[in-house]
Amino acid sequence: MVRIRVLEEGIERHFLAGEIPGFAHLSIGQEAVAAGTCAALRRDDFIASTHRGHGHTLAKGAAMRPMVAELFARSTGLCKGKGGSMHIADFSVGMLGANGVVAGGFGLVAGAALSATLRGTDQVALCFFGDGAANRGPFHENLNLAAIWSLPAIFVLENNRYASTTSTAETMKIDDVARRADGYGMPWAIVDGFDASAVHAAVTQAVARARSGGGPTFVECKTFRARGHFIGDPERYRSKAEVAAYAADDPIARARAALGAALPEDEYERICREAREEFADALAFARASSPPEAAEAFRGAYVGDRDPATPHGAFAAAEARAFVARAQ
Amino acid sequence: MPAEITMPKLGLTMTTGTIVRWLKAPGDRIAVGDPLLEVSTDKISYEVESPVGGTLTEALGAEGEEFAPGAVIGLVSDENSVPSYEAHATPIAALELEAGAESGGHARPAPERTPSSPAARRLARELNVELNGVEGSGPGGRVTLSDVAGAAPAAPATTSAPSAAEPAPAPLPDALPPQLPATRRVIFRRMSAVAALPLAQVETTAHVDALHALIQRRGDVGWTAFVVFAVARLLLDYPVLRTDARTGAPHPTCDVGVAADTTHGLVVPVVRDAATRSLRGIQDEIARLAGSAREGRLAPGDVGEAAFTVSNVGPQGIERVVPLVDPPQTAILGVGAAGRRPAVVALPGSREDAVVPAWSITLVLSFDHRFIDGAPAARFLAALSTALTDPGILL
Amino acid sequence: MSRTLSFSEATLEAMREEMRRDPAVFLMGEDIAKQGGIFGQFKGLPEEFGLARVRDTPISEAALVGAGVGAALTGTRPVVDMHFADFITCAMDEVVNQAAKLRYMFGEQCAVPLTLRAPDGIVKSAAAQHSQSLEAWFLHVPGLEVVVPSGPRQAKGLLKSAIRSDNPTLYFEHKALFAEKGEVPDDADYTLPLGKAEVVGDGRDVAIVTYGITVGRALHAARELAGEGIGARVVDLQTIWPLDYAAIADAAAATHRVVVAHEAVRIGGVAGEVAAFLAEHCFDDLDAPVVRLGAAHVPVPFAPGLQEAIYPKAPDIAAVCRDLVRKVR
Repeated sequence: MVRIRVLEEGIERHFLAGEIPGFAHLSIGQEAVAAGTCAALRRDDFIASTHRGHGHTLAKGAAMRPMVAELFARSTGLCKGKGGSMHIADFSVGMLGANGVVAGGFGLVAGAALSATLRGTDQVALCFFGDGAANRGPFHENLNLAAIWSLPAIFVLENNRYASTTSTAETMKIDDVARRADGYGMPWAIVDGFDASAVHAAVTQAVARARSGGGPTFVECKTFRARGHFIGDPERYRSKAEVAAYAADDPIARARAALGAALPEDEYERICREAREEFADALAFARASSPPEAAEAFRGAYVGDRDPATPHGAFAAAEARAFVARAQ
Repeated sequence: MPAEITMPKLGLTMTTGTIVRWLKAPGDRIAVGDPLLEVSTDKISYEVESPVGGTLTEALGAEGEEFAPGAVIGLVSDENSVPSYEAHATPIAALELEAGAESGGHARPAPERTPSSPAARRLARELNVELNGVEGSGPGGRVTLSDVAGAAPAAPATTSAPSAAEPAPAPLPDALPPQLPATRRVIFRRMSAVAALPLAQVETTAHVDALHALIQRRGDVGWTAFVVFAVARLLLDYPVLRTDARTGAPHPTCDVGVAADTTHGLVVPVVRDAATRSLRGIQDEIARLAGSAREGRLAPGDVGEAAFTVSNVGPQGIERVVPLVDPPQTAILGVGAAGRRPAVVALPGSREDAVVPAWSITLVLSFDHRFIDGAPAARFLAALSTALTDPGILL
Repeated sequence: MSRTLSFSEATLEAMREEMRRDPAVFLMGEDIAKQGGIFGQFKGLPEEFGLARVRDTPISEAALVGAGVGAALTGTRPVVDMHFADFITCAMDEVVNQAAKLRYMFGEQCAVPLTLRAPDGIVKSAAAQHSQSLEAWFLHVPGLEVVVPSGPRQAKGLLKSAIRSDNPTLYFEHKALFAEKGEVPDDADYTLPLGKAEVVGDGRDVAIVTYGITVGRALHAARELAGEGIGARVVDLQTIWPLDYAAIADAAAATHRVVVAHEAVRIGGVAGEVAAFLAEHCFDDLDAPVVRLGAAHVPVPFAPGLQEAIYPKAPDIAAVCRDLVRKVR
């Protein structure tokens, strides 16, 4: 959680300093969900994430250097600078990408779970999503599909009460989204999203169910996003008082309190320091890396498009050549 | 309007300048700033440059002639201007007539864009075919690939009517000289083909005192009109002179082409059915065609399909021209300038002949010996000479 | 050696061969396992491969395609049947924003070896929402492959290649072609390469560039034209993307007159891409305007007379060819 916090605060600083292009969506305040969930997963399990995916990516096992490099649009980024914050991914640790389309991850997780059953492995697939996604079609279709096919899937809702600028109070008739899982015949749990242990316990149970062929589980984590929807969000949809009230409840503080003597002060300091050093190192790495070459823009859409002997490759090569010719 | 080339004022005390030599000739394409001629005073030599781009239409001063500063010594037409016909020998001569090459059927009235397909344009470029000269068989007159391919060899006898004569092979190399202006390309090709024809000439000098006096007195018709008038009526009597090389039979009507020089090159507008027109009618028609030619407004019906052509170099003051036949015509008449020349006459009351100045013009009849023999050609020419000598015969 | 198969049988044969060849290939869609597909194109597959590999899904196109993408990302090779191409619209995000883009966005960390089968086209008064040809939409989305077979042989060869392709491939199979019979080689592994057109005939007067069901109509027109002394060659594109631009250019160079025809709506159709390419890159080969033939810009009507009026058939293709050759246009 500390690493996520340090990473997110660092991204915030450098985005505001103009070093990060595009959009960035911070998960400060929601660290317990990412940390608690991913701690319950194996490296070869799958997750699909949202536009607010930095915490999930780090928690699943991605390294900070290529993450920061990706946000800084460098060729050394996880996605070679072609994805950015909203499409950050690390398939080597089973992270099937942050998705810029709300509810885009449901199908990917259902499919990954299906794939595991077809291939005969005991991998599970887990979908992070927000309260906004719960109102989109794929939420319903994939929950239903996962239930009827007993797919080894877990659906983890980070209910931070706001979908961009609209609150759950105005977008749903119910307070607990998990009740919708009943509609699909799927077991569900509701946990305090500020409590990493609680999240971890619930997800562990869901994972066990999935791995043993018991089918999917819906886990709703009640949480709060301490910052705006995106960096630079003027947050006109909620009051400063509301933000302050929730921000007072910090998942890291809660964990420290819960651990008590098990986490001595100097140990905590060491964790923080190491996290800061890790980020500083990642920052330096990103700054020292070069942006992708312009000709790279024309390749990578198709398997085979780096081989001029294939139709895709021939076309991509021609486009790149034309670009180079124009640029001169 | 054409730009005037004037004798420059080369110094305060200059009274006259002499044309040393022309660096360009009439018909040459000129770019702005091109040197046109060299002039000199007693003090300096100087190259006169063209103020416009276009074509040198007139080189009015001859080499060695002197002109005062400001005198017009040449004319350069710019691309869109029309030819100037002022200040020439014949008072009513509206038409510049030029010896030699004729353009035949397809002098287009205006340099408007020929609709053509991209493939046709490419082939035309490759084969150096002038698109303007190609008949388009596509919709709206679009020139298509096959049209260009058909026009490419530029054999003058383009139709496929059964004919005793084979199309003349082109003995000269077909390769166009690379810097040949576009306007000359069609003519180049046509002449390359004509060179193979067995052309012969007969020639005579007609004594035209009477005709000269008549023209002076009337003031409303010119030499060309008279010649065309006479030629048209004689063509009725001598149909072999209007043989169509495509068919081997005489052209049905006496359509007489009159060669003319324009800024777009040689054109040959045709006086249709000249044998049915009066002298005045022929003059009017020549004037109308000249006006159209000047303004680039010749209609397709105004050119092509002539039975015979008249080429008059009189306006240039040239006494004799041996013109080339323009296939599928088989004969052409070259007319020289009417001038006072020594003539041998018998003086009344004297046994000795005298040499007196008399008006005469030289007539040369060129003909395609595949269709016309020397004797009929000679008879035709003799009849023409007689008619011009004694115009009362015609009128 | 070859035998006669229907288009439907040819695709079935392709599915069977590919599912035998690669255990990662599986099939899912609406009404396929029990019914065997409305054209019989999946008959016998559940019996041979089991219901795990041949799955009926609920009517959930977004989940169907989304799960297809997810499964393709994670080590399997799904074939997803859309039932009717018109229903791809219910899964457009999954096709356009997910399947087409993940490989590129993620810096080539993954591939999406997904095949989407989509029966399309005008047939038997199926009317507006069951008769569309939407391949032009997907030509316009980088990251997708688009394949349109014109007969049984091509159906088999192209489907096998589509399944084997590691890229997301849309396979549009015309509903009216399913019953059509044709010669299919006995070759146990008959594939046709994606991105290559097939030229039928060597006519030098006009080329008809086309694909799918219109190929047969063009061939019919070509036979009729041959009887009038007009040589028409037919270029069957087979793949819409990657497009065989070289074949199109060759046809223009050989004939100088090109007609581009498809059953899909003419406005904004694939013919526009072909015509623009000809104008840009084959300009000097053209002796006549490039003419496009396609359906009218209306939804497909129900009444048979109305339905038949709106799309190009053999006589329409022949008439245009005739006009071009006779220089009427």
